[in-house]
Amino acid sequence: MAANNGFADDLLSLIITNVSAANVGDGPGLLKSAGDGNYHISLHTVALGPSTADQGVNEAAYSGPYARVAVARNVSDWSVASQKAQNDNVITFPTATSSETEVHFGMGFATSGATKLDMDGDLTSDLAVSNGVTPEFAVNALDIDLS
Amino acid sequence: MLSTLICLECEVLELVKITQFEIHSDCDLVLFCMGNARETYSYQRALDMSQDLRLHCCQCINTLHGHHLIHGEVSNIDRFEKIKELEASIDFNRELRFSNRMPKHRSKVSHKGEYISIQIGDTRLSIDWEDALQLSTWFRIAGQKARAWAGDATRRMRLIGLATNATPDTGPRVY
Repeated sequence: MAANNGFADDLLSLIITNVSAANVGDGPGLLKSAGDGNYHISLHTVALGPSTADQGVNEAAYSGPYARVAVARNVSDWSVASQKAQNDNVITFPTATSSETEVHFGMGFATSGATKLDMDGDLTSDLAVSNGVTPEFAVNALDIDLS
Repeated sequence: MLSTLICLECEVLELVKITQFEIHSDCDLVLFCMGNARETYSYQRALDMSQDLRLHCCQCINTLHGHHLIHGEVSNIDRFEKIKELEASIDFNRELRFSNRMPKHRSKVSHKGEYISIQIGDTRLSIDWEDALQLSTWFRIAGQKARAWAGDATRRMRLIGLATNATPDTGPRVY
């Protein structure tokens, strides 16, 4: 059995943009969260594996200070189409005053600390952070593919 | 449109057309040939390459046309009937099978301005973003075919990101 493309879009929309997945079980289907809330985007200095449940593991710690960036779960901040989701706005982290290399990013529930990690992925190129560097994800630079 | 193919070892530059590239599935693997460079990918890695190329294409379009065109434009280009046909042809009832050949890949994708660069070992391909989007499609179709051969009907959530330096005056932008 396999999930079809429309259902994959529904799932991505529910998870990323907080849009109910209609007609699952009943007409209203899988209902969206009461509030959109945020995904907190993190940077990591070591790649995380699927067994990593804690967003604080190997998280960036450059002086600046580094902090996770909140991105709302809504259709203004993410676009979902053709089993893909991408960010609609620039995601900018604090400017660094110390050095480290970022290789991975995470998406989780909380602003900081050892908290639940929902999803994570590799950076296509490592980002060397040093004094004055401001890490960012440009529009459409985060890509989630459910195919 | 002509693309440049560069051998980094002997510094030979060649002008090539996208039609001279070859991407096709072979059992559960995907082969990519450009000039003398050949690369073999597992189907999952081929789908990763497709996503990686698309991400870099998006950034090229961002640079050239501004942000708001991008998603719809790429989504429309990327919506292929062939893929739907392939997915419909997957035999869900049989067991997974693999060819037991070890895929190897040394590919790296990057971009600058409107050009996408694909490096395989000592060979670097510099290609216009529109051609790169076509290659992304071919990788996706070949990956889906190879996955269908393997009988793999699962979906996998793939996340990739391209982090850059937003403060261009303080250091090189990383692509």
